[in-house]
Order: sequence, then C-alpha cells, then structure tokens
Amino acid sequence: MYTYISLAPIGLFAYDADGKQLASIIFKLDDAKGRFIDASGSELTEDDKGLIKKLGKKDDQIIFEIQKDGFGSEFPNISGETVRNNISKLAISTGFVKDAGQYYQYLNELNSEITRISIKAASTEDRLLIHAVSTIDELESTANTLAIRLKEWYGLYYPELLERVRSNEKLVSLIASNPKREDLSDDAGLSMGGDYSDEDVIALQNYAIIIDGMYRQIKDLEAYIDKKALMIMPNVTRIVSPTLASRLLAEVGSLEKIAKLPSSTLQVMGAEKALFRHIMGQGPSPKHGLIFQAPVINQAQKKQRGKRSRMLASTLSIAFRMDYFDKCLTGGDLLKEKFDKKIENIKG
Amino acid sequence: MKATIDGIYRFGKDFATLSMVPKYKIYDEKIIRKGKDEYRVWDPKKSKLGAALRMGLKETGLFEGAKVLYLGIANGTTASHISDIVGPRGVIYGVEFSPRSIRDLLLVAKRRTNIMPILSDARIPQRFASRVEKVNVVYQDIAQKDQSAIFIRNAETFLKKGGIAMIAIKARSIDVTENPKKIFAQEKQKLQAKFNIITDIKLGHFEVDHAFFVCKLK
Repeated sequence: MYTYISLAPIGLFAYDADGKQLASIIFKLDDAKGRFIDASGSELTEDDKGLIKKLGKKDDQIIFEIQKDGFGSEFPNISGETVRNNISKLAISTGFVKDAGQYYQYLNELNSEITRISIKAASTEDRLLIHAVSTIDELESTANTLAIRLKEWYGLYYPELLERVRSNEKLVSLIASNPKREDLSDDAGLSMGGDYSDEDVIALQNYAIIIDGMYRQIKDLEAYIDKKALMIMPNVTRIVSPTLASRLLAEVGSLEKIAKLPSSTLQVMGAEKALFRHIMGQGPSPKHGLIFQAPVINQAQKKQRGKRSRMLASTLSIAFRMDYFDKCLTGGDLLKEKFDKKIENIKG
Repeated sequence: MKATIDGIYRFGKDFATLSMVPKYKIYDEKIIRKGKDEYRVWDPKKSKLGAALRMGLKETGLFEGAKVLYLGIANGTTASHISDIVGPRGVIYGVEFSPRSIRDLLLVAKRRTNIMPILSDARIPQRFASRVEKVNVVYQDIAQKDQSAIFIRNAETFLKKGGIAMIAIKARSIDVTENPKKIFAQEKQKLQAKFNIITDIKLGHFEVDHAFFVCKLK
C-alpha cells in the first residue's frame, strides 16, 4: 500500500489510498512561513523526514504531491485533494489558528512573502540592459523632436549656422556651449537673423543645454550597454556586436525567453510586419529581421543573405543558450570559429 | 441598496461593487457615494468581467464568502471588484506569471487581505497547489495559445462540485491569422468536452475578438 503525502500552508499530511489520515506534522504559526517555504523545495527537509519517520514506511512506498528528490510523485494525490477540501477547518481543528480569519490573514502574508522573494529573484541583470536599450530609443526620438524646435528658434537669430552644421547633435552642442553668433563666426555681422538681446540668446542656450545633455546621456548609455552586454552575454557578443545582442534581448524581454526561442524566430525577429504579411499569403517570407544589422549579413551579396541569416540565427540561438544556461567563455570562441568557416563555405 | 446580481449593483448602464476598503481606489475607477457606502464603478474597458456584465452576463457564480481561483490576475483590476463581492470572508487565489504585474497586485493585496498573490505558471498547477484550496469559482483570463487546456486542467483540480468556471478567450492569442468566429467555435467544442456551457458572450467593442464563457463541470 502506498502512502500519499501533501504539503499545506499549515503542515504536512499523510493519507492512505482510502483517504484515511495516517499522520501529520503541524507547523507553529510563528515559524510556519519558513518551514512551508523550505518544504516547497525538492530537497527533503527535517519536517519531511519527521513525517516519514512517524509513518515507518519504506521510501519507495511514499508518494509526494510535489517533486521530491528520490521519491515518487503524483499530482493531484488523495492527500492533497482531502486537505484542499477542508484546509480552513483543519487549520482550526489542529490548533494552528483560532479561527478562519486568522488563517486567511496568515495565508495572505505567506503568499505575499513567497511572491516578494520570487520578484526579487526575477530582478536579473538582463532587465537593466533591456531598460537601457528602450531608454536610448526614447531619448533619441525625444532629443530629435526637441532639436527641431531649437533649430526653428535659433534660426531667427543666426540661420546661417543651420546651413553650415547639418547634424542635430553637433548643432545642439555648439549652441549649448556658446550661442553668440559673433563668437561662432567672423562674418556674423552679415547675418540675416534678427538682432536679439543677450537675455533672448541665453533663454535659447538654456534650452540647448538640456537637449545636449540628452545626447550625452545616449552616449553614456551606449557605453554602459556595451559593457553590460559583454558581461551578461559573453558568448553572443563573440558573434555579433554588443549593441545588436542587446537589441535582440530587448525585443524578446529576457535572457531566459530568448534562450528558449527557436532560431527561426530569432532570424525574422523585427520583421514581424513582413512575416505576418507572408503568413496571410501575401508576399515572400522575410529573410532577416534585426539581425540584418550584423555586417556579416548587410555587407553580403543579396543572394547570400538568406543563407547567412539562417546560419547566423542558428549560431546565435546556441550562443544565447550558452549565456543563459552556462557562461563558459571558451564555447563562444569555438562557435565563432565554426560560424566563420560555414560562412566561408557558402561563399564558394 | 439591492444588488442586481450577487454583490453587483447597477447604476443606469454601469455596474459597480460596494467597496470593501473605502477611500482607496485601485485603478482610476469612478466612485459613487450613497451615505457611508462607496460603490466602485466597474470599467468595462479595463476588466473583461466588467465587459461581460455590460454585454448581458447574468450569472457569475460569485457570492459573499466565495472562494475563487483567479488565473491571470495581473495587477488586480478585475480582482478588486471580485474582492468586493466575496468580502472579508471570501478568498481569491490570484495566480500570475508576470513579476511586473504581480508587483502591483502585492500592494492591492496589502489592503485587501482576501487576495492571495501567487507568482506561478497557471499551466503547472502542481507548483502552486499546496498554497490554494478547493474553490467555488475558477476565473481565467490568460492570453495563451493553450488557454482552454489550462482552464480545464485547473477546473478539474481545484473546482468544487457544482462550482462555476469562467473564461475569457482571446482569439488573437490562439491564432492571429484565423477568423475569430472559427476559433471561438473550436474552443467552445474543447470546453464542451468537460463542461456544460451556461453562458456564451462576445465582449463586443469593449474587448475586440474576445469571447466569454461561463461553465459548469460535467
């Protein structure tokens, strides 16, 4: 006869196949949370051992409801079913709590605590990288919007400079450091811009300083991302640039998820519009999405790009798996070597 | 004031629940005051159960003191109304897979102690079974391809005899390219293998391409 063990927030219960309770271990309200959390793991705890000792059965006759190392498990089992039917009554009759209200108060605290622990564990380094990538995108678009306004504003005062400096970033940085046209050029006196007072020009400069700060922040973040990506994805960054690796990561949402993706998804990620157009039956299948940014693809001949994309995607998916499951550094080098050879082969 | 459906009150075309924790809003819901009582208006655009009520749902299976298993509880918008309905003697076991969403739910659960936040995968009931119990109502709102299978598995494991199970089905997460009508018919068939379907509602413009089913285990 098998004995079925289940874990409940108030303790451990053992039942036989007919639904008769054989033994139990009831936690104390003060230390119940810790004991429950410990017992939820796959390792055998003191409480598990205590219950098994009470039962006096051989290990192979014991069936747990959760996975326990070295034991059989069945879900749901009769013990869990019985306990889940009467848990609040059991909590009172075993003396664990005085009334149902107290039990549910405890259960709320227990669940909240376990959830807090899991949230903490889910706050991994890859999340930081993802936010940094998104922040760069937002900063870039915001800074460019603001720069357009600055150009119009500054154009009232010294439009000739806009002709000479085409890049938004450079222009903003020039105006931020010194907006006065007589300091910027010798022939400023010939400008068709209006003659504004110092106060007007300073107002404009203050605005430029903020935008300039954004462009600097983007540079800083890019450096941060490169550094962080090398650390979190040592193998992937052997194959593609840290920037592209981070973009792919940001697109998917976590290292865990990306490690579990099929390489075909990696290949066309970022080309969803074309992909769905293709699935709907209108248009060819996309050859590459984000990975097009890799020079090995965008610098290849057009007819080679499909093959190379497939190759790169499959190599990347292995590399992501290495980075998520095991960070052995030598793997990436070997992978890169093989990848280069494959690319060499399809050239011929 | 008299409830239209257990714990759910009607104000014109709006539905509302009597707040268990007055003065605290969960999302930016409208509040209607009647003397000392505060009624929280159920926003049909933010809650699929709210939308189902607006589309004519008559039976929810929820009552004061009910025990509920909520799969895909997210940040607790719908759950806060269910929390009002079941009251302090009821319980909601809220399972959610996303750490970000459940972070918000933790704050809700602090004031509404009848909500039990559980960060776990609804697909694998074995992982959270030791923290829940048999329930009167299973409510599911998860955008997964195999949502019907997950629903059946959980209802079979945790639903008490005679209990009610509700599911919001999102056609777009089952197959983006297929016609939603076809998907609803196909999912309905899957549900009918295990359940008797009591109500079958489309959520209309509140939630595009969503269907809502209220079922009882066979």
